[in-house]
Amino acid sequence: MADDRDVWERIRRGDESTFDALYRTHGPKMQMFLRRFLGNSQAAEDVMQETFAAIWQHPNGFVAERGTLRAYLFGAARKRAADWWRKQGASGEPVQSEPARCDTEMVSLVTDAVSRLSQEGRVLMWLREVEGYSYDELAQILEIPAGTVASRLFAAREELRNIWQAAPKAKKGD
Amino acid sequence: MASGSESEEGGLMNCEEVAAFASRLCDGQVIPRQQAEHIGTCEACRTRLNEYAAIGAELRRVASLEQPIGLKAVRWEKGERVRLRWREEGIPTMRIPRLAFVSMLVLILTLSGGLVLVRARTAQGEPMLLLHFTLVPNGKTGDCWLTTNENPKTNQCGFATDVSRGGMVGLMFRFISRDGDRSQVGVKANYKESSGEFNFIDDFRDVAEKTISVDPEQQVKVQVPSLGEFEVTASYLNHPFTAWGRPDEAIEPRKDEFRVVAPVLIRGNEVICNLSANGYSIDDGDSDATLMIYYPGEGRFLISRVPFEGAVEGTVKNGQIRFTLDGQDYLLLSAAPILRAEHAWVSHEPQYKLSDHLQAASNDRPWFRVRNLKALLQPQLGSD
Repeated sequence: MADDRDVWERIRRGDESTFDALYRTHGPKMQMFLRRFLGNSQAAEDVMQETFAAIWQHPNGFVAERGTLRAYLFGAARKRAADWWRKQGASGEPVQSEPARCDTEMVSLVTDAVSRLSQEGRVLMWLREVEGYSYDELAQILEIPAGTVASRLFAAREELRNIWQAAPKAKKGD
Repeated sequence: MASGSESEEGGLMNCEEVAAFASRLCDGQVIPRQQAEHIGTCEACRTRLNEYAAIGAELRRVASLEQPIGLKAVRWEKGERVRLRWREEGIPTMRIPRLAFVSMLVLILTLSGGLVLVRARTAQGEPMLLLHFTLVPNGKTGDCWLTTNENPKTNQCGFATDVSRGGMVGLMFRFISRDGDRSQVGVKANYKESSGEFNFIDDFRDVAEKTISVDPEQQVKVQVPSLGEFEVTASYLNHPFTAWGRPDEAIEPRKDEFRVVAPVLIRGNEVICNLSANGYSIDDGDSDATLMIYYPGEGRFLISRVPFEGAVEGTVKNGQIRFTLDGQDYLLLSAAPILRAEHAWVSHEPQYKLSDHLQAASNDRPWFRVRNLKALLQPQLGSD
């Protein structure tokens, strides 16, 4: 895909094929990320679709000088996901996370461990370790300073490590 | 876990103090020498580093096991977009195929008296600065008007047109200040050889703005590099225009005039066509003048000053035309009175596709014109 600035300019002009390519490139990863964030596949798909639709309808949020286009997309998705959480809370309906697909015991262990992290910890670990976002991009997505990204990643790793250290013994002893 | 190593300063470094740097190492960051040395020699810290790395690897492995996500096909509807507004957004690219050259002029020059962009403006108290320019190399002329204030949404104006020897020339004017009858105006001019399009953002990005002084008594010449000169004359008007590029257009339509400015079409309580940012179309005296509105998903509406087959009668009052089709009430709104007659005749073709009727037209873009009824009913519309 071409330079972010060029891509965005085409989208602003209404180039459907460019926007569709952006959707196809980042949509699946965004949806996986949202699954982690929301714990609900249907909600993840809805939020992903809403995020892209909103950007298409109002193509005015990305500023190339502030960061990458993919970070902008994920930042927009994170905000929508946060709104979704707020609405769920406001509605008083309990949010039920879906059971993880346990293809192996280790998948279950990792999923369990990650699910015990704070929401922000889950998001950070996923975006950093799975999606490979840089500190600057994470700062853009979460709207926090890069230094704070580093300290929060450390906190999440420590939390996960502590869970990790305890969990295998219990599981393996089953 | 509470092991320590000697720092360069001679003190003991606590593993807990170094742990955060292990996390940074894991992310490919460079860390200070002291902490790096500690991690290199401290078994507990190396274990921690390995555990961080293992956690990351496991997360990626788990992600790899997840079912791939199949995306739903989505059609990105342009009609639903918040459209870029010409002056506010710095003017997007205008692609200008040769065959549709005159259509290009709707945004650029007022040579044909056809459709041009217009912005609804509020009366702001300041006069309007009207700039009339002539491109010396090909004799083309155009008008541009600016508010004489600091509002960047209204005090700038741009043009682009092709030139006879090939290529495109773009002009951009910006009001800077006014002292009596003399105004300072910023001008950017760029000539693109061998190009059929002009992008008002990219093609002006590296062009330096020159400042010129204009007043009603004086003609100013401005050089366009590699092309030649253009001449600018200025005048002031005490009112905003009814239609951009037509400074003499009165609020009331002339006797045989049929015009639509920034139209909006409402069905029941629903706005079905919003072309309020899309300009105007005017016919100065055709007895069969008819407005055609094409809107994606709605087909086309023909609104004529004369009866025609299949049309229903509607009523005209100032900037409104009301009619009823298939039991539903419609209201067409125009930002200025439409015509002097009291009646108009309307038809609707919901299945109409603009591309079947107008060469190279897109079915995703709205289109409207006032033209002769017979011309609109022809199997093929000529571009105008």
